[in-house]
Amino acid sequence: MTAPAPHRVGQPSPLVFHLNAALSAYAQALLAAPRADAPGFPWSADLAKAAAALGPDLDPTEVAAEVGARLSATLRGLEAWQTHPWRRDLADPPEIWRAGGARLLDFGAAPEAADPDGPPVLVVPSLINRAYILDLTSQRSMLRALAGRGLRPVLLEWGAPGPAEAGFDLDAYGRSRLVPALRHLQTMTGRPVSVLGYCMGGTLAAGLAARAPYGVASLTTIGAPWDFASTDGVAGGFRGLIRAQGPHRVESLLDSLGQAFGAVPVSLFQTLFALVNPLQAALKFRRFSVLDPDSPAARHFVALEDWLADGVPMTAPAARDVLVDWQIRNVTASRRWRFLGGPVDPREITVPALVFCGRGDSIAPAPLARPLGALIPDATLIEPATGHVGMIVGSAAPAQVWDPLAAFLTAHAG
Amino acid sequence: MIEADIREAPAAEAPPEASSADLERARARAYLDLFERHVLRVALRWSLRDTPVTRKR
Repeated sequence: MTAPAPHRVGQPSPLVFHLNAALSAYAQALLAAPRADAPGFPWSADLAKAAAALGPDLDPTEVAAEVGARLSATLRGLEAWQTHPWRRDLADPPEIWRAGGARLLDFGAAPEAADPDGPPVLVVPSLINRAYILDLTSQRSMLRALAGRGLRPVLLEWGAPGPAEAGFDLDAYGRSRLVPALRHLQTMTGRPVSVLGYCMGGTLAAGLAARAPYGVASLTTIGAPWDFASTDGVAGGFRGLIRAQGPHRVESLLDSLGQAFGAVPVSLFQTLFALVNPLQAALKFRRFSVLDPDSPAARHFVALEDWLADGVPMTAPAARDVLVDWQIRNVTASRRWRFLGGPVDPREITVPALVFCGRGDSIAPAPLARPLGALIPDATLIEPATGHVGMIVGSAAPAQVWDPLAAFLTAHAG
Repeated sequence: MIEADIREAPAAEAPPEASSADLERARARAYLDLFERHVLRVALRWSLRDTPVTRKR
């Protein structure tokens, strides 16, 4: 096997999970093949008709050969990614503030910016993944696109938790990083600031707009989960099971991980994401195996996979807030989430809000994300036909997300 | 956070003048295409409400 490119992290984490999931699914497919057209086979309802048309007596040798071919293609795709020469070389825009590991990056000073003094937008990403998904490549950079339309996006990059963030829970991140960053931007620009949050950064942004609204011009959330009551899908099933058993063992696990590693390792979150869709890695690397490595589509794939493999650990108290208080206790939807000195109630958000909820989002699907838009009094809900990451860097993102977002931010600028 | 866009490949089809071996291969491909789509649906839509575990409760 060719050696990974020296800059590459090297594996879609956790690789052993992805390979096991694929092997397990295909083994089940092989075992089930003789019964594929049986009326009692538990096909999803919308697939049953096509399955019945397969006819009887599938040749198990052909099925096994095809399984082998698909797994081989997945491994070829994996190797093609690991050895691909592309690397992200976008230079960060100027840093205008820093606290501990966090910093503010001013996209109003990026070469693409149309107006360095445009309406300021504080951009709040997730704590789990690197912020540069919002500035992935020069072709797919939501922040540079907004800057090109006269806005001044300023990205709050949380950074990895270091000594300054030891013991931080979400409230500490809010008090010691988010609010000071907002105040700095307000003081520097002398204007109200729009707040834009992606993924769990959107949930934090909603908490900020509800609890510290001074000087906030508007609120936008993209793929921000809020109501974790749903027990649908594998992720929801885990929530339901842990609720039934009580979350104490999960809390102990997170505390133990924090003590052992200093923070909860990113591989735990990557495993949880992988569980949502167990065959995803096998399918996407198989598709990648047939792409021309020099094509724009292949380079975009590599950029995205590099970002996915490049997560950050989370402090144990913050992980408990996200995985137990939000996901299991559902403190957000029950308005018991205490943030910045009190419980967060989206009904108290007074600024105009724009809520994006991707129709193909499997990380913050509609039942989790839509309720936030329903609670905020002056909110507009947009449901793009794309997924969680697709809303930021997918081919539909410019028309379905960036354009309405820029129009909203411009219309409600401070 | 992270899903690639879920695109579903069209079902495999045998060439117009296929041998019986080609047809069997095409059926195997069509079956695995369906099975992959089935796994995705189960993962995203499976519900505890439908399981014996919760029915007992």
